Amino acid sequence: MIIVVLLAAAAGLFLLSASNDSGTGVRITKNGQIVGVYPLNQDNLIIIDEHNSVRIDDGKVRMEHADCPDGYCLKMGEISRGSIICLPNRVVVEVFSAAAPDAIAG
Amino acid sequence: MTVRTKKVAYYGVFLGFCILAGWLEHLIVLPLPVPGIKLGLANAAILVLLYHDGVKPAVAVNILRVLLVNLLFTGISGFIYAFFGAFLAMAVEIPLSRLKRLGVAGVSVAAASAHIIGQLFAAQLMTASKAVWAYLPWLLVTAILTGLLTGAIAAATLRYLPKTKM
Repeated sequence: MIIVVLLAAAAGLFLLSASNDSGTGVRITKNGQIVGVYPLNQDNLIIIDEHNSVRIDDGKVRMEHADCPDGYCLKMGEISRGSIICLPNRVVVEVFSAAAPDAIAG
Repeated sequence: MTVRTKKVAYYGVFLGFCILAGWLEHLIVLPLPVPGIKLGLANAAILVLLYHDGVKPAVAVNILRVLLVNLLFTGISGFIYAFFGAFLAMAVEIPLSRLKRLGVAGVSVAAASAHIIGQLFAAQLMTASKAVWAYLPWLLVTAILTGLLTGAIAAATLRYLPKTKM
């Protein structure tokens, strides 16, 4: 059983690293609604609402401010691939690559 | 003492343990990069009930503890995650517990894996985004570890419990 789950985990990790090229754009959604799509190479500060704001800086994106109780999204730091999720506030900041289709379709 | 009183006391011990475990896990958050990792100690109690006394007591205590622990400590949004996680875990561990070859630890790992998958599903519902599934590999690894831990606790407890069903 453990081997089965381990194999599943390894497969998942492999798929993740294979599909996540360094991105070109940032897609921000709140409650499933698109807040906006922004180029990763343009410095920007996006204030989603009074609960969250996102900063794009030097080709990386991070959660600039969040009032969620756990603050995991803030601890994620700066990313140039993958996503930052503020679960309590239902905010998803996804880095996508325009060139390759997203394996994790949004 | 009537059988009924004995049952209340017996199941009460399990439920009390679950609530205590839920409270402790609420207080002590593990410093891991992936959010929301819990030890899931209460699942050890549920597994013991499942193996020792059958499906009905295990399901009953599980429902009660999800309700109570989340009412007391986490709130409605926590309840949604806990519900999906516990529901899928039960759906997996009840049939799997019939297979003696897996052992308590194997079933526990399967239940833990199902639990995190259920919670990821809830997270996808709440954020309306499939990006949450990126956490799946890491969560599966922790599910194996915590599943082994709770499985060991459950197996040890089962060894010491008198064989007679309640």
